[in-house]
Amino acid sequence: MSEDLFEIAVEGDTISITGDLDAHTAPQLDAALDPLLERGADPIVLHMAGVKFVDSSGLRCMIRARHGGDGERSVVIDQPSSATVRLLEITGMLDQFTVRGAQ
Amino acid sequence: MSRSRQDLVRIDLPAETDHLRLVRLVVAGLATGLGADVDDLEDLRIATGELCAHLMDRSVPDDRLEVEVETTETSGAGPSVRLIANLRDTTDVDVLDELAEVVLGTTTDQCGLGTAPWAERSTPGASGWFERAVRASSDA
Repeated sequence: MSEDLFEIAVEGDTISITGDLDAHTAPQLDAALDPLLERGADPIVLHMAGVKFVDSSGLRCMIRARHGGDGERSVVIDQPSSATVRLLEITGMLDQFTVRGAQ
Repeated sequence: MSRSRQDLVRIDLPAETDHLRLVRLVVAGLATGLGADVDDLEDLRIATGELCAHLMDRSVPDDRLEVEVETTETSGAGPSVRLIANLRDTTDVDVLDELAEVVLGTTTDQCGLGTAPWAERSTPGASGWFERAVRASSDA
């Protein structure tokens, strides 16, 4: 059900995500992250204007973008919804990311 | 304990994560009826997804998840949403990992794995539960 409403588009080092980012859809973001981590993209931009829901599975992907592969890199969370920001806040992860243009 | 049951919804669905959104929608719909504000709704959606995903991820093949969502009003307190999720055939769902524990602990008033404190009977299979008060000003 979530799958029908979920889309990922990759352009350069930017991943645009649309839909609910949860345990069902997070593996698709992980797969999109793989080549960026392999080539050492830094920063990685996650454009999340179209994401209205994120759970800890989605958050794990975001943490992987930050710390996965060979070491740490900058991750920009672009236009996150209030729900995304709230999840980052309650888990104490907000300062791990550069948040740009919160909605 | 004095309480009046206001609404009760039961969902029985395959224990597969592609149904998570449906469960979140049901919980959010019931909470909206209680006058939940945006923060309440977000927390309930997050908690529902977190708990159900934990159970679904650990379910045996072809298992089903039974979700019971109840809105209650305890005298002296505001309305709340209670959720019990029960896997029919799976008996071991491990403990919550650290991140899931933080998320559930922050978005609910109480939560756990096993039989819910308000459950009238224990059910076979593995269960998880949470309760979250709706602090919205529905009567303001």
